[in-house]
Amino acid sequence: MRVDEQLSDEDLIRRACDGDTAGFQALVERWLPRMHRWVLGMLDDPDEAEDVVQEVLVRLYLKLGAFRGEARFSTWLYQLTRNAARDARRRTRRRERRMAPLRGDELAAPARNPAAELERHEDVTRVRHAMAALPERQREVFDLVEFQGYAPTEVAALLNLSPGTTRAHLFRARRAVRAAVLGADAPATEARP
Amino acid sequence: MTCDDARQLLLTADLAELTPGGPMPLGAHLAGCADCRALAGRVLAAARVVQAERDRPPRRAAGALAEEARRAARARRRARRRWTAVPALAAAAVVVVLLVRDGTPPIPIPPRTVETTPLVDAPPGRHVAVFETGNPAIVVVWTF
Repeated sequence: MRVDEQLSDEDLIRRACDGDTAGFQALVERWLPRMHRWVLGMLDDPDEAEDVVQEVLVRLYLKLGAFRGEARFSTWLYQLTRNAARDARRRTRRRERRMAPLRGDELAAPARNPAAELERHEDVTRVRHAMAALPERQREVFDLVEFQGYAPTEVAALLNLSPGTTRAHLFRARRAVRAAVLGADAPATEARP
Repeated sequence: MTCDDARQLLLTADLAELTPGGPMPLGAHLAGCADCRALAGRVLAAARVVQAERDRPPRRAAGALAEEARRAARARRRARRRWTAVPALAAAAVVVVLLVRDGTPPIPIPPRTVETTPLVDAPPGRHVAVFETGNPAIVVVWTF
């Protein structure tokens, strides 16, 4: 059964809560691309991202009844996604700590990222390293605007931040990442917001 | 605009501004300065690679992911219910064991509600029953 694409998120949520499988599926179809991009931005690992997306969907199914519409659905879902990504990161760190004493250089896993070829590109590697060094909020704002096409005002709503704070995070993150990309060619940075 | 000014802007401008002929005044400078244009090109190229990665769709289709999530969620819910039943069953088992071990007949002594000051307060939303055993030193408190 195809659920009407004109239905609002709230309608789909209501249907899903009433046990309508098609309602839940339509909600997933609508939000999956965005959710997947969010997770990729948070983890930068496509394999792990897919697992996290699956976990977010399980949590979504279990918690859908708790969505009261006090926040935007996008903000609520983003928070759910963020928590699942954080849990995954924590698990990965624990696993890496456990594995560290056992792992010699010859056992180091090959790059799992299918974009490994592109990653060799020096500037992309610099982007990754610079982003990894950013505070979490700055990294989130930067990734959403720069790589996922959100407007800063949309990001502010999604992350529950003021527009001014969002712009300040974006400014600092851009300056740090682009200065890293340009290396010696970057000008000395001026202290602005 | 000098190259220094342009490069300061390169660090913080929107990506759309980093193309020659883009919004003034940076776009105009980039159109006329090959060095700054090359730097802007590097920033743009790196951004496009990451953008393409973000746009990669998940391997599994939404329908399959949704179905799998529904199944996993239900299994998780069932498992949770099982775990919440464990304390009640354990309490019942303790009552039976105490009655049998004491040598009294395995017919339970009828539960007696404590009428005076209650020995224990029931947690919010739950009930509490107090059972006496054949051994006056042992009283079983059961919340359910």
